[in-house]
Amino acid sequence: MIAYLRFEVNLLFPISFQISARLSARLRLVVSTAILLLGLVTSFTTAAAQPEAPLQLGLTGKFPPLNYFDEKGQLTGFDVEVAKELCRIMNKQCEFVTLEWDGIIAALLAGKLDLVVGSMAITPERQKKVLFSEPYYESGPQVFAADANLDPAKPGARIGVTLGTTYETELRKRYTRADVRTFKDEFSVLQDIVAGRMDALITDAAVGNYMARQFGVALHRIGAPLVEDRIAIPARPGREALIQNLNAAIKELRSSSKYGELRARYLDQKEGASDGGFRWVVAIELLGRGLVSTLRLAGLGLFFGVALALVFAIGHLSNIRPLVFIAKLITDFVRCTPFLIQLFAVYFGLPALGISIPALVAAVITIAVHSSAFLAETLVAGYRSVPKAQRQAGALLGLSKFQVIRHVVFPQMVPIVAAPILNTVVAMIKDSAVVSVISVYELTMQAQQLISTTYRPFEFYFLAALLYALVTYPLILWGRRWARRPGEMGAA
Amino acid sequence: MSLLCSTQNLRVKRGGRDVLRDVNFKLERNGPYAIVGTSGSGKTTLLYALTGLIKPADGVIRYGDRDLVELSRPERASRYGLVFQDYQLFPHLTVIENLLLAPQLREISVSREHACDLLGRLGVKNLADRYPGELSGGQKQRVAIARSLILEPQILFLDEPSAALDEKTSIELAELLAGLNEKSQIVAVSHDRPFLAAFCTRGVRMNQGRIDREGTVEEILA
Repeated sequence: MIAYLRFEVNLLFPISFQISARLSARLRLVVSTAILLLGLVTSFTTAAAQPEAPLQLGLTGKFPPLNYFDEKGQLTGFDVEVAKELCRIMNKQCEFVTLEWDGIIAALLAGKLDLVVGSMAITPERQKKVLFSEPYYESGPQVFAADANLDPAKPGARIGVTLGTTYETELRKRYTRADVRTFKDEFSVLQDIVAGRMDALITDAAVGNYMARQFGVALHRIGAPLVEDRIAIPARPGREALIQNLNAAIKELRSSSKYGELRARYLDQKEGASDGGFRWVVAIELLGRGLVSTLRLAGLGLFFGVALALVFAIGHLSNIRPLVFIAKLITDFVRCTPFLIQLFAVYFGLPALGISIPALVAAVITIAVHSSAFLAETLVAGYRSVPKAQRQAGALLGLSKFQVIRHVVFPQMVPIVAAPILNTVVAMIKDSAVVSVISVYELTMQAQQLISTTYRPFEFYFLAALLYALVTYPLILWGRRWARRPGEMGAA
Repeated sequence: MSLLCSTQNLRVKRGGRDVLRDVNFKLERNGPYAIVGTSGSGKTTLLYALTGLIKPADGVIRYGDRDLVELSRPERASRYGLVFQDYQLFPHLTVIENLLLAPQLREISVSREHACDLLGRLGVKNLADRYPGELSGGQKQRVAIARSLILEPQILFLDEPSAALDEKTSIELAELLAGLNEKSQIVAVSHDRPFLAAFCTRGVRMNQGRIDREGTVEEILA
């Protein structure tokens, strides 16, 4: 589990590797010597203690100014900086893990996370499941609307809220006649407000301020905050010692001047968070990195998909009844069910059977299985399109079964199956966007992260689309070329 | 003289019905051989059984003193070749590649010159680098014959070789096949009496799944 989380963190922060790659050779030597010495010193000083795995800190990374990816792709925000300070005070190694908010407690309880530092409010329901630290700040849900005169108590006022937050309960209690709708994140609500599909959103007071400024849209506070939320850090039951440590660290931090600085920088600021302005070059580089992850993901999935497709195709063509039946059953079922459901079945369904797998593995498995059904069907149709007499002609010349398949059947299948196979490949590259819902980093997730900090949905969704097309269009053209390649084809 | 190929009480069933019964076929090294019969008489079924493409329900097929079922694919290919009625050239390969595919894969040394000579003997040398899709029916047939002969089989079976040819070309083919009979025993399955009469010396006549006459070409075509 830890290995997976580290892997994801590496995917998220490869910029540090790039920077080190840019260092000159001499500088690299100095740096590596320093790291080596540092390692010797620390290993010496901590020789008595067991090497500890870093604490895994969960957050969404889509909740500016509390936690978000800045224009350089670095995770920052009030939560993040507070967490770093706390880790420093506790003298612990920490790593951040981004995932969707509605699954974050489940991940904590499953041991995938040690702590959640994503601005979680203390509630009685949550206290039944997890241990909370002392609060590290206080805030409250606040209604924001584009229309300063909006009355949220008016029947049918359309108010959006993030799924799984405390705000929803408060909102429904306070404005019983409002049309409350749930969204994946604040940003989705904001997009709908701009598009005129929603009237208002409810979010943390500090977050709403920040969003309004960044988006360049006039969002007005409507009324006072609904309640005061105490924002704290949860751990799973049994980690009392960790929570005690944390409480001491929170107490120390809150009484230091550093705390006031962080509040001023992220929560109470009058100007935008110190994001130093938006830079296209960096954003495009980040999208490029997302694209590389998409290609790696789709490539790996398709590699196993082809292998699995061959197994299914051989099953189809085996003429052994039970094998034919099983192969048809599996491929037909996969072809008749949505990719998203298959992804959820693998990611959430398998753990229910006691098989817990990391999100990335679940994504690769789903892409492999989904694509294999379509690929197998194409291979079977391609094989059958070559007349039986062609195989007989090969056999009569003394060729082995394998030689006949390889040199007689396969070359004749290629022009027939190339286009449909490449269509499947293209479809899988595009559908891999779906895996961002289980927090697998790829192009679409990167675009969403950029949008959540820059509020430029049009630009980044368009750019992401362009990058997908840049990869898939040549594949489509290539498929067409294969399909018409032998002008020499014809009746033999 | 030894038998190249023989059957003993051969029986083939299709859809629960006997399409060949009590076939005792004997082929010796001799002049071009004919298997004649009306359509439905069982002549093509006999050909497919002899070449292992369909399995008999009963009886034995021998090549020399070996049972067909004991022979490996390469052993079969050295005993007989078959030219399909619709030739079945490999459409993704050129003419010369069609000829050289099996020798190359089976590591039989056959030079390109030798393959070209063979095409020359069949009058299609100039087509070596064409694809089958670019050839006429008669040209494809000659290439298919060359593709079989390059493996130097003892017997060359041809299924309805004159079916797609006009009268003039079928006579040319008959002369060609008569010339090729020196190296490989030619066996032509056909209902085209003038064509068979033009080059065959002996043969059998099939009727309702049985051989009803064996003898000289004049006798079986009578």
